[in-house]
Amino acid sequence: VTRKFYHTQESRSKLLESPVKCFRDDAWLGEAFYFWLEQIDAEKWGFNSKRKTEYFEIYSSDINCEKVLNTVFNEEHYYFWLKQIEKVAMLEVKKNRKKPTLKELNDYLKKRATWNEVTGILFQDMPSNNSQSLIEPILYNNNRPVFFVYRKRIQLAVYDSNIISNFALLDKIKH
Amino acid sequence: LIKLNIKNQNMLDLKELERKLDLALAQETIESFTNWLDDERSINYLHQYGIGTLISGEKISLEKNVIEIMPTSCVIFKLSPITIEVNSFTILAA
Repeated sequence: VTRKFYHTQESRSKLLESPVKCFRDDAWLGEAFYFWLEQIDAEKWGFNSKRKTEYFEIYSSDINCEKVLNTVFNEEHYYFWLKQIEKVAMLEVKKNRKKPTLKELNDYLKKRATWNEVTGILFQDMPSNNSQSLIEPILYNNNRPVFFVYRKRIQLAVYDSNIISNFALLDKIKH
Repeated sequence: LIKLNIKNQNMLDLKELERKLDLALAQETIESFTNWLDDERSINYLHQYGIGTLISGEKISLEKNVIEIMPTSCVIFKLSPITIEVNSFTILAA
């Protein structure tokens, strides 16, 4: 039930003692502590998005996934989550307003529907950088390469910090 | 091992989660949902400035917006088009 995850942050004067909660508007799954399942994605995130200081840091943690909604590997959880997200979105679409963001939908589930027992959500997107792809891209007439994105980029949004343990610096990397 | 995995997958009661969501949606009016969404967007805007402690009597400029810190226990955020009162001195700041 407990798995290792990775948390990336700018390198500051003091090492972190606990992960930093993300409140950003563009955080996919709402206000949460965000972790990567694979260290390679934590490093890429550091190189691409944590560029304010000369270094970035990767911390590792053990996380208890007992009450995590696993939309990546658990089929039942995935279809359940999809159905609930679309239910809330329909409420907004009916009013013909601006579409809600995924963050707003997840915040709704957490705060309005009081899903307090859900301690986190495991979710995926696809890496946009294909430089490490081992498969030759398809070249169409305009010579634009199209990559087959076969590797999932998996993140965990943690809502309950009590499931995080053994938070420790793993690596400090220079840009 | 297979039995253990199945048990682990069921630690969340999906039916109960769905029941709670359906109840929330059934009680929701267009107005209440819109208000909640507007509040969330306002709060998110403030959250992006981080968390800190402000000193009474100071003024802090956030790009085009100004936070006025009142010499009482009440702080008013003036962030067009919203105004939010916060009854604490530990507030969101740049």
